[in-house]
Amino acid sequence: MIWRMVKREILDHLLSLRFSLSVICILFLVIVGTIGYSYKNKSWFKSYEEMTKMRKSKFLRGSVEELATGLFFAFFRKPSPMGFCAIEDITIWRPLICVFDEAIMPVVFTADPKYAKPPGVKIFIPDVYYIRTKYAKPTWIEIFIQVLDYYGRHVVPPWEGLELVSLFPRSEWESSIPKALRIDWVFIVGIIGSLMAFLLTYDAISGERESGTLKLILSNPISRSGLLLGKILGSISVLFIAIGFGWIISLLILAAMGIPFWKDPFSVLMIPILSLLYLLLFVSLGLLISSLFRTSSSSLVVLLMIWAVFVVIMPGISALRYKRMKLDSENIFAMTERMMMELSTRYRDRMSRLPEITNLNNRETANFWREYVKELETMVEKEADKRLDKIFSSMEHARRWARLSPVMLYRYSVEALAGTGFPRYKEFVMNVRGYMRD
Amino acid sequence: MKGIIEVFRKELIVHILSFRFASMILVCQILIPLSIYMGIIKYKERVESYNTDRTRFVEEHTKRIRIMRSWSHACPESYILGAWGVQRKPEPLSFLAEGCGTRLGHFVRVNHKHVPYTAAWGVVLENPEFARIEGIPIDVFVKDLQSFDLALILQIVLGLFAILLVHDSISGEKEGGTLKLLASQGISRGSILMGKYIGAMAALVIPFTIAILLGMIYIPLEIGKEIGSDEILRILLLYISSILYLSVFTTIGILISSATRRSSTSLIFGLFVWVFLVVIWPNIIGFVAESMYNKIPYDEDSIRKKIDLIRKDYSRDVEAIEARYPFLKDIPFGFETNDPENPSAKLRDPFSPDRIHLIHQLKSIAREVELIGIKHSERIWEVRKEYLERYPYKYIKLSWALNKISPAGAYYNLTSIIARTDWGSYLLFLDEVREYRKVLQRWVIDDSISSARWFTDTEGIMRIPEFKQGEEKVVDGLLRAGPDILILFLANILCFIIAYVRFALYDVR
Repeated sequence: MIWRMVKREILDHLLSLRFSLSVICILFLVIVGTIGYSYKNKSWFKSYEEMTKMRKSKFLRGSVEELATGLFFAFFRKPSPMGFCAIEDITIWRPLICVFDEAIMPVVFTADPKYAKPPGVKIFIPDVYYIRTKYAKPTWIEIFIQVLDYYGRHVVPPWEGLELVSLFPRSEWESSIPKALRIDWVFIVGIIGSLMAFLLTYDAISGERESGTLKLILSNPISRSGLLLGKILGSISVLFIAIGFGWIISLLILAAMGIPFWKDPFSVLMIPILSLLYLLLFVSLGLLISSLFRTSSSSLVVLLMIWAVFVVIMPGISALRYKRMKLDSENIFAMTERMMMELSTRYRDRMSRLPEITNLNNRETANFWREYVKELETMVEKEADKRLDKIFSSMEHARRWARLSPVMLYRYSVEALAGTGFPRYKEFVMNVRGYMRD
Repeated sequence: MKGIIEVFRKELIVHILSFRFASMILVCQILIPLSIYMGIIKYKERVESYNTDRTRFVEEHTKRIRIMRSWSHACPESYILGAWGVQRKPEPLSFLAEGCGTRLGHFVRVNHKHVPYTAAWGVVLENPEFARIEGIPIDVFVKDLQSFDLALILQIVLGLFAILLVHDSISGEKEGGTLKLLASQGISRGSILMGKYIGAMAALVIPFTIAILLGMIYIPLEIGKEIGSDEILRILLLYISSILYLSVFTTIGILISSATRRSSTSLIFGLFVWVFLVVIWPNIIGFVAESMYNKIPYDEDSIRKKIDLIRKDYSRDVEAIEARYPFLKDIPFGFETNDPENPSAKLRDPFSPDRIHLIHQLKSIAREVELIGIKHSERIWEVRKEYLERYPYKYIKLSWALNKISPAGAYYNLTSIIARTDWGSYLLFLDEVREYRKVLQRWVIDDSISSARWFTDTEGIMRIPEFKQGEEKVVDGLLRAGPDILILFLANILCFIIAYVRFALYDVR
């Protein structure tokens, strides 16, 4: 009897207007989202490969100077093949480069894959240069031009600014265009799919009660729980058809665009199952409200309110829990200077006892400066760690609050499966820092 | 006319007694005051950070100026004056419509030899270029959590309610058979439609108005000082534009309702139209625009080459000056020397006979170098401007224009223009800063270099002309928002006319 119920529900839904409209919506979104993602991220995949290749070759043939100043110390984050399920919104989470040198701990910042290609890398860490200028004392006219270059080699007047990443950085681009959610799998299932689940179930019981067919069904030898189970199974399998269709289409598009999603078969299997689990929540919620209210229109109103609160309002409120912290209170540059002042006062006596303070051929002096630089390094490192921890903990706090909303819960679990998102980013940064220490 | 009032009264009473109206009142009274309150808190945070930045910036600057002894200390390339800049004030109405203004940078480095073209996210004192890395807007970390301003709530929740209120206004009466009764009362069809429209609008506007008034209680308590008569006018305009936006969805709902036979069909159609216009379209435009970044034909390398050539010109010119005055090579940074034969020792020695002559010579050299720098910086700006207008700005404008296809996008743009938080206001701000730069330029060349002591005295440096952020007039803002207002009006009128035609053709039999 349940099976007859399920069959009837499925047929009913499949032939309905809402089903066809939702399938059109989902297909449209899947096509736009997947093509957009692969379009955007192909360069990431490519430049990651290039970078690894180049690093290997440089390691084999590169000169010491190149190793010390060049790209050997730049790290690229490995792109995830399933990234389109939960697209990372942030430039910072994307390919990331950490650059450091003998006196400074890694500064973490962004670079676009396009501009991070080996010849075009324009990363400017003038700290060491600055320290050098302090001792070298440029002449009067020199300070007018203040020679600076990415590696301190050529003369570039800084008054026109050194383009760090690009003439028009991605972060500025992203803040200038209309703000939007990413059209990824989480958007399709989490926002459109959940609305679809509500639309399929809002009149499941109240509608039948209104039209009087409920009495007819109950007069058949079927238990009430059986009826409910049949409704749930029917709706969820219809949703599964729509979602599965979208999933297959998106995989086909990915394959055509050359994104190697098959490298992660576990996620390919698990993400639809997870989506089903998420939609089940909305289906059963829809049935609950539908059985509570007499008319289908009032149950729809309540469901739409629940949807708006879960999907739109709750993530917004949790964003307010995010503590805006100010990063710019003191930059790495000023911090190093401060540390150096501190160290100099601490070592004042020893420095005055040194025979020749600038002659590094003197063993005693050289030893002193080695110790000095090492100390400076650890101090700056500690400070940089503190900052990073502050950002990360603040981010984690906001994420804890965001878990109030089922959509965000779904997003985080898909992120975990797809290998994207904040925790992965944090892991990567920590790895790089650990490597640097080694 | 009498018919309209009759229908309007009936509709209003039906709406007010309905379940959706009750839930709408509840949702509005909770969400709108909450969002206004949260927005005010955010705005106050922004103001606080603006003030602390400002005081810190000025303090640091004064400290630095105190230690300098010569023009070479103060020269724009050194980190002392090189970091001079202006901040953008947070907009008071950003608590009603965040726009993209709150996400864009707010600190612009101003230097007489650098034409600003972008704003950084933080005040960076030492090396302005660090603004790009160090001042990364931390908000990017929470970009996947949405903002929560009044404009968003109106756009999403009240748009939904408008559809819900009117979806059965005609199709429901068709089903129930009361439409025939109504048509037989001698009321014209136009009056019926108009009465229904006004009734639904009244039912929508009442809860939303009460909620806004409730939310406004916070304003005198929290930020009373910042709200002047101009701001009140802007709030009124925001209110009117919100009504215009809600009326678009009401007319769309009436159109769908008059075009369908059954109320359930019209509901499903209405909801999908709403989902497409409010949820799908703006997000797709944003997403596609974001993806376009890599695909825009950025011929950055050629631009860089051009800029590098200009820079080479500059260093060649400066080298030529250096060659003309060979004694400059011997002058060390800060004129500090122990060598009595060094020209700077003559400079420092008040009894030296050559001193006055040397000072005049150095002054004229400095003036020459500064003028060359200004000339070349303007050349570089021309190159940059051409590039910006050809690529990024064009595509950003395109994305905003496409966003307006949906009334939600037009409404978003309209509110952010009224609240001065849109992208256009950011560009206006950059223009103002460029104007300010010219003032600074005059100050450097006329006041500082030609002042009495060395090249300047400490007081002269302290007298840097102040930047005053101009305020765009309301009328100018409305002119800028012209297309948005037009789109909303046209959508209203078009939908209403189609609904009328469809309804007039409806056969009562």
